[in-house]
Amino acid sequence: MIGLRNGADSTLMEMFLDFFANTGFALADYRNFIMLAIGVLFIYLGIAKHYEPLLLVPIGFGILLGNIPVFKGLGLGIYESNSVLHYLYFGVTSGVYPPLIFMGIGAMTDFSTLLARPVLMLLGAAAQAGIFLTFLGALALGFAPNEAASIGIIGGADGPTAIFLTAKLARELIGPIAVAAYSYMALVPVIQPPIMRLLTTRQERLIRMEEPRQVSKRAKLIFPIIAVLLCCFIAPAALPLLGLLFLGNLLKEAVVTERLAQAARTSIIDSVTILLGMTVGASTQADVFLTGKSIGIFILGALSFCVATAAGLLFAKLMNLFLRTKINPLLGAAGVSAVPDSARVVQMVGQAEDSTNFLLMHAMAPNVCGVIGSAVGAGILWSFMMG
Amino acid sequence: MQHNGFSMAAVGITIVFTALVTLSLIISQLHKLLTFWDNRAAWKQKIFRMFGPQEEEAGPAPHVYHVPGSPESARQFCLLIQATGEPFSLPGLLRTAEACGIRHPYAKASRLIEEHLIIPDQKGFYVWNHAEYDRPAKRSR
Amino acid sequence: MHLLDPKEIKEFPVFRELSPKQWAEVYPLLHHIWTLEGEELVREGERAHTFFIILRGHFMVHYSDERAFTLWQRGEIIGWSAVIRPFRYTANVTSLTEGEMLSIAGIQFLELLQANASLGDKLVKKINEDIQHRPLIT
Repeated sequence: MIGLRNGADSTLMEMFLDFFANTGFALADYRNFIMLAIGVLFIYLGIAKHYEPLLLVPIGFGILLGNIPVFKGLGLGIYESNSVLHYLYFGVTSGVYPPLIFMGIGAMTDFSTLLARPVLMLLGAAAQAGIFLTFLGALALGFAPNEAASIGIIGGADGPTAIFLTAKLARELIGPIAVAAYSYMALVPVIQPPIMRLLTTRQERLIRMEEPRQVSKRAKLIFPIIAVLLCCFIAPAALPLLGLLFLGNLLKEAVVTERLAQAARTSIIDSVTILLGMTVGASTQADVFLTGKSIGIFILGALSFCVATAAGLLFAKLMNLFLRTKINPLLGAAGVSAVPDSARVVQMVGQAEDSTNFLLMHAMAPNVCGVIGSAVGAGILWSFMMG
Repeated sequence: MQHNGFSMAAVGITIVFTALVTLSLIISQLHKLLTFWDNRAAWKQKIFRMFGPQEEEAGPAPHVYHVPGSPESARQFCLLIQATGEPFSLPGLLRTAEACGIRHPYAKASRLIEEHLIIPDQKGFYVWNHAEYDRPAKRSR
Repeated sequence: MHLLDPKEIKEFPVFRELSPKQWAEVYPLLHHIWTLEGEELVREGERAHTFFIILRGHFMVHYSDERAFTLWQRGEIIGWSAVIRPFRYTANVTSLTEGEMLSIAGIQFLELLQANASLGDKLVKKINEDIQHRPLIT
């Protein structure tokens, strides 16, 4: 603070020097500038390259806000208990924001492709092997179990789930894990296709799917109720995420609550996304991000996406050994719950072989099931770590 | 810790699989359950005929909707109209039906107009024909 | 052109009183079109580009004030503004179901009616009779 000396003794220059000593320029070190550059890079990727702009722009700007050096004790930084950013960050650390985002996702999601062909749910389940195999890999690399669980959930390819679990288990890693999760979700069109081509034959990629049956409105209404009861009875720790997901879906399917569904999928999810992205970015500070652990997180995160994709593909091929009507194994890659990007990738790879083969609609089934599966997986990991 | 980690991974993936397999089994039977529920009167009659006393042939069968999905369309639109109020604007109703994700709202509305469940109020708006909708024959859905 | 028997079309109310010569002038302008559920055929206020006659299907005529009525009778006409001033559609028309219609290009039809006074007089009279029975006229 500017010292208040005896007026007769203080000089103009000393006051300026005192003031300057408390500005960001004096408090910054090289790590701040690296993080600021990363923040600008994220904003650039979001705006200029359209990589997940709704997330990368607030996260990138949050990184800028969180890495501007400030004098501690004035209640400015995100980790100071009386700061505005800290209050906004509460929604992340307490796990409030991710379920609200899930409610919006539920209000946008049409589960009818899943209801029309329930067997495709198994592909969504298989892809969640990426979570647990990455968990093992993280343990092998020396991460603590709670950290390994938070890293493993990146394989679920679900940003809110990853943030939710990390907030519960390894709060200090929220920044790098969120950045890794969202970065790899944006890179799904780059990560998945080579694995899909490697693990499937041309003949398999040409398989056409049967037209799905019609799904009645009543089935779509009953599904969220059955799903939330079943999944939360099995994995109660998934209640916050799945409860809000299926509430949002029920609001959407029930004709009489369209207003609420509209609010959930527009104003609520957008507001929460802004606050979540910005505060997660602000919490991503140099002392946590620019460490060896972050490098490990990024490597494991990339591996988790690859493993999840491979698990889904291989399981689809396994299912084809027993199914009379074969399914296109490319659909297994859509079990990685980056909705709807991985479904679009399946469509793209399928159409590269046969331009008249429309797989997008069918791929949405394992894709949305992956959201459910990753939330159940997060609940299971949380309950293991609590026990 | 390594051993514990393997156990956790194995148990975890098993639980995720079990949950989703169970859900998929229930969903795969859901449409059959709903069809059974829709036709429960027919099933009751069938069982009654099998085990109950033989009866003389009754009169002609009551009129039932034979168009697939038609009873459900009537229900959907009835709910929608209850929410929007009467009299309602037909184009407004169709817009709302589309926004709510009702499939083929136009064709369904056309069918309901033909069956006099949606009737004009002669002022350019429409009302739901509750008398027609509540007729006993049409309750056997 | 279209798939129907000309004798059958000649029996539609709008064409019923045309002489054979007049009918021979109108008939070549007819086109057979198919409509899809939810398809918007005409918009209120736009230049009346086509005159339609219903063959099959259910159509909703609706206005900007949200009032509406429906048409489904074979032979009913839609788009009479193509031949009546100010040649702008007075309502929106949306197809409720898949359907089939006969269509006549507005410009061609108007030229024909303007070139042939007797034909024009008969058709416009029939069109007026038809639309007088409509529930809502603005």
